[in-house]
Amino acid sequence: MLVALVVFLPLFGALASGTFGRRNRSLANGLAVVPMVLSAFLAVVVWLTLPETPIRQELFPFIQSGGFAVSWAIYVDRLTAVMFCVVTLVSAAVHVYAVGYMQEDASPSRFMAYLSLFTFFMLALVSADNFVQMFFGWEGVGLASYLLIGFWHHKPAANAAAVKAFVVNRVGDLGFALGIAGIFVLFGSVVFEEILPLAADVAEVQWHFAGLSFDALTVTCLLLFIGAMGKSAQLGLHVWLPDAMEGPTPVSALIHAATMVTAGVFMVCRLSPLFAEAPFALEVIAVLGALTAFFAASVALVQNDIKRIIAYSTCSQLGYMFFAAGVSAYGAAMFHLATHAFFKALLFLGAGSVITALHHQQDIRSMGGLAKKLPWSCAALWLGSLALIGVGVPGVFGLAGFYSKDAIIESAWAAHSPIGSFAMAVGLVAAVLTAFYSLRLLLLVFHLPQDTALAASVRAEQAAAQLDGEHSAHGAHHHEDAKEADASGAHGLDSHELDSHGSDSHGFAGVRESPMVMLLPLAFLALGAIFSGVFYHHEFVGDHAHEFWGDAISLAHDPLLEAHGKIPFWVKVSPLVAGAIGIALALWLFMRNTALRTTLATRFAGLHRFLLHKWFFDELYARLFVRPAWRVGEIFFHGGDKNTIDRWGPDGVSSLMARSGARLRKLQTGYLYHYALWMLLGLVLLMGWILFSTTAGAN
Amino acid sequence: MSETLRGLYLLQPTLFIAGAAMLLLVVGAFSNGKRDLRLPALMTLLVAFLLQILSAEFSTPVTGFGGLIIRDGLSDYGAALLLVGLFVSLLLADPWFRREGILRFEWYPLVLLSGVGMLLLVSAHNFMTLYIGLELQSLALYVLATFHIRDLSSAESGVKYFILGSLASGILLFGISLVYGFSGTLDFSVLAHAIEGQEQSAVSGLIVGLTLVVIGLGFKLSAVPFHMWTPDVYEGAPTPVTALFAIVPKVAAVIILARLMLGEGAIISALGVDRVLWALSFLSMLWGALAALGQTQIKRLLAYSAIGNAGYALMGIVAGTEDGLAAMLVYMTIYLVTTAGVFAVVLSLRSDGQAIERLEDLKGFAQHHPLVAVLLGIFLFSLAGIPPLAGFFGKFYVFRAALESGEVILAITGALTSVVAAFYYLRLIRLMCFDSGSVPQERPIPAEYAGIMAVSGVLVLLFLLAPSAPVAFAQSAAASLFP
Amino acid sequence: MFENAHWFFPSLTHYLVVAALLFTLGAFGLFVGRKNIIVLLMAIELILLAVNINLVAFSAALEDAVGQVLVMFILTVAAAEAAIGLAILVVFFRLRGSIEVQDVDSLKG
Repeated sequence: MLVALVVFLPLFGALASGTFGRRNRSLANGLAVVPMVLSAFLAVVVWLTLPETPIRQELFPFIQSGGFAVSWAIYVDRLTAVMFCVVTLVSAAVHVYAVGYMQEDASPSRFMAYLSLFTFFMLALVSADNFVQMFFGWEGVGLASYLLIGFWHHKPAANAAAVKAFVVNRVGDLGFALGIAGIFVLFGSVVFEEILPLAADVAEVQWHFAGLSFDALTVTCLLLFIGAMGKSAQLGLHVWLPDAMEGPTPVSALIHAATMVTAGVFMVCRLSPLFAEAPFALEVIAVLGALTAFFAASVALVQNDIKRIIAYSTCSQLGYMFFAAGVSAYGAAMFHLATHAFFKALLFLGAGSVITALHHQQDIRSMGGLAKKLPWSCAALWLGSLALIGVGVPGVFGLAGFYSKDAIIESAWAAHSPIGSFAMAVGLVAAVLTAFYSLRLLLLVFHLPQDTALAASVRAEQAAAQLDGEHSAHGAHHHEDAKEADASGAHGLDSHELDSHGSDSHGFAGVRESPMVMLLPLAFLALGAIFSGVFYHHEFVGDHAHEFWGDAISLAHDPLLEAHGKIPFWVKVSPLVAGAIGIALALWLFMRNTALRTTLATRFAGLHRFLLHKWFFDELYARLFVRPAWRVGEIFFHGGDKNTIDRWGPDGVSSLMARSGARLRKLQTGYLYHYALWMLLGLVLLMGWILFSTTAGAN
Repeated sequence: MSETLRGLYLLQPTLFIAGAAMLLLVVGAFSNGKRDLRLPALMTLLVAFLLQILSAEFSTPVTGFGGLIIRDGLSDYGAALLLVGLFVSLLLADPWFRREGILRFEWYPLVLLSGVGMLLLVSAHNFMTLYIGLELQSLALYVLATFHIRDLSSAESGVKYFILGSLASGILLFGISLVYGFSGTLDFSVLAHAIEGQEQSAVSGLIVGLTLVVIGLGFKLSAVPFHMWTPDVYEGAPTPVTALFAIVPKVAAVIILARLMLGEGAIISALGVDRVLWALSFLSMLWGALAALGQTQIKRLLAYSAIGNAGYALMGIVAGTEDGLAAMLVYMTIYLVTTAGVFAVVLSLRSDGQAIERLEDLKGFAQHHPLVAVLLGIFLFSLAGIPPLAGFFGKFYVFRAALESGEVILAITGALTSVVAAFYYLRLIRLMCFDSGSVPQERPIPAEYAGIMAVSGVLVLLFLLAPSAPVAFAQSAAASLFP
Repeated sequence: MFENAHWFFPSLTHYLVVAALLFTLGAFGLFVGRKNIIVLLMAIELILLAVNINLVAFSAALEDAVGQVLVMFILTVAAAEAAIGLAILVVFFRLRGSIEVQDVDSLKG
């Protein structure tokens, strides 16, 4: 009952807030926040009282078709309980925060309802006991994410971002759906409890296709991983995540940092017994994860939009989680997932607090020296950043990221494989970059004085972009799409449009710290960012891991547990050193030797552009997929569809239909005797037909 | 004696409604129509529903009055559906009638009496009961069609419905007389056994008689080519009456048809009479879809939708299997829910104090009532059978049953006509969403309509989450004809 | 089945033929007589009459009372039906001022 309440309270909140909160702002807020907080409280109760054996509560049967039987059921083991806590706690904080953040928005009930609905889908995803229900949650969070990214639907950029997220996720979902089909073919079931113990039995099964044979389990796992890549924004399918920052900041914090994007990691961990039997798939995951961690961190170095920087940071941290999973350190992956949820939500909400204070200005080049004006936001961002960098004193105390990132790097080292070493090296480089971009963000926003000339030019640029955006919104759609693909890093600043007060005039004079309702969630998340690592590292990745996880994840090949106690000191401190190097570099470049920055930027202009344009992924996709698809579409549309199919098909048929419809209407003359005649004619004809056919049949 | 008692016991919900209806008539007459009979009428239906559920005999069929009536899973399912439909119809009618100022107390007894007829029809196990049930229903409905006595269209629809309905009854009766003559019985099960081992000439007579009976019932179901009354009556009758026509009587008609064709080992179908149903189903789907295309009136459009839907429901019976019957029951249930929602929207449409009846008045509707427009869109999509809404599952089950029993042509026709139907529902949606309207619709929607819209909307949307529960119900009901 | 019906005269067949003729007459009356709605009501009565003759004839031939019971029901229902039909007709006449069949034509298409 308890677990069902955890899952369904947010749904209730969504429905109640969406239905009854339309007229009354505080009612809308209350109806969403109270069930959410209650759900979070119950989730903690579930966490504390979790029994040895998993809870499985069947709600009602869903599909019964032949040998395919699926029920709606809630399945709670340690893994689900972790996700329950992370999702509900962060969601509750974000709900409270959103009350303040959306104070001036016109439709708070819609926002709150979407937010709660998202939470429900996320909980349904993590508590699924079978693939179909997981897919339901998976698509549900995708839908909620789409709705929330495009929440400000009057912004063209928000709409484009929502569509982009949706389309890119479809690519991943196709893989996921095919993976589920593969599972069903392999196991004849889609229920986790039935599948996972059998993983070893099917490890040898081969599928033959086009004269080649493939390892069935590997193919299936790779397909499932494609699904995870889409949702968790891994290299290749990551392009939607930065654009998704067009949504309101609470959304970015909840969906695009703490919860939904981690669904892929969760899925891999949930299926860890399966992946354990598919070593090649694991290697792919490790390499892609490591590359993502590096790629995203490098892009974050030069971005100027405060939310995009954090978004790339999220992308990068997700990469860490994946390479941890890829070296079979599922515990470490989940650990990082949990800690990351807290400090990244903290970062986003802190950034949101800065953004509201500056009337929706998001470009860090036009900020500066805000530490005095926004002390609490500054503290939140500092704390979040330090947790992200992983600051701590080994053996004494550290912020959340210190423990989890350490665990990942150590796992990669302990894997003692080429892939592991590669991942570790890349991870360390990424850690340097992480520290650097975090510091850059903090210094530019809070501590360095505002560069007035640069700020003015940025604002002029934004105004131009806004004009341009409006212009293209009126133009043909494909122009807009092409522009969207071509747009450089500066696009997405259209959010400026929201600024009803006009940011051109302010010099931070009227900047005020956010209200209490926004700061309290920050404080709550800060607690998580400080203590979640130190309290739980023994359970997640340490001595108590076996009794903690039980059978929830596969610990059989966990490198960290295997190599317990035999991790060299240099490996233990390497992430810390990497962080220190990054911090030192940033301090040097931004505080001491500012001229060198410009020199570097001009010397390595190519590299700078490369990073600023996010490795040209958007451009590449535009060239490779979007425009060719567009062109092929044009050809088929004009030549194939309009002139062939439409002309002979729908249009021809529909005009035929319309004509016969008109003819049939004429039969409906309105005269009684015609109707009676029709009935009798029908009678006679039917009777004749029946008598003829039955007697013909009898003879 | 005990046979009579058992009959009374089995018929208790029906008898209760009959008694209550007459009481209401008396109360209404003596209070000069001043007394509001709405609550008593609704309570009557509620109590009847409870009686029906509490005395439900799902395990084995029980007959009463010497085989005149039967209570089994099918009749209970049908009765429950009918009572819900009547309840919804009463709820739908009230605000509309009050706004138009034409509510008279006779409305309640008449609806209840038509309900008595339909309840009798679903538990009929003898042609005599069938006839009486059918007439009881029809006589009340004739009056209801004419309910707005100051409106020419209403009177005209009453005249048309009455004349054509009487003709249909005549045809049905003539068929019954032939069946009686050539088999010597009016009892369904005796008839089924009497057919076995009959000589050819008598069988031919039976075929003629049964065909006439099926045609008479096909009229009530508004199956093509006996549908000509439907568009005119739907358009002319006051809209709540149209809603009643669309929601309730069809359920009774398809259930008695199913019992006739499929009961007792489907011997009657085996005579070849099911080919009549095949033709009716085929023509109804085709005609319903095509003739709807050029319509300009909302109610006429819904009439053609009803005609087409009768075709889909008949397909389930033509399939002739237990699955087919269950599919038909599920289809009717979903149809009832969706239609109730559509009519809740249609009845709430008003502008300038006038009820909206033309399609083009819906232009720009989505701007004024976004939520209602979305709901209407959902209902229409469901009627068109677009996944993942409930209507899709209804059609899907019926098609599957038809395909499994080899009725490929019907299934294909059904699929194609669904596409055509989708076209005109989509056109309606385009009208609502993308054309700009001239007259803003009135704002407050009566609570009854809002409630019915919401419930129907939720059921239609969420059917996919638990399709197995209603299907299991329908299957247990269908199983009573296939022991 | 009707082997022992030969002794009574006129035979069952005769009754059936008369009934069939009446039925046809009634059915034709519905769409041939285009004058007056009253005529249509009479045509319907003819159809019911045909049915009753059929039933009574069969009932006698089968030596089974059920058919005649049904006839009683039909007569009762027919009376109610005629009353309702005339009432509807009165309503129509008051609004339209005519009971010509051609004038029942405002609903069509």
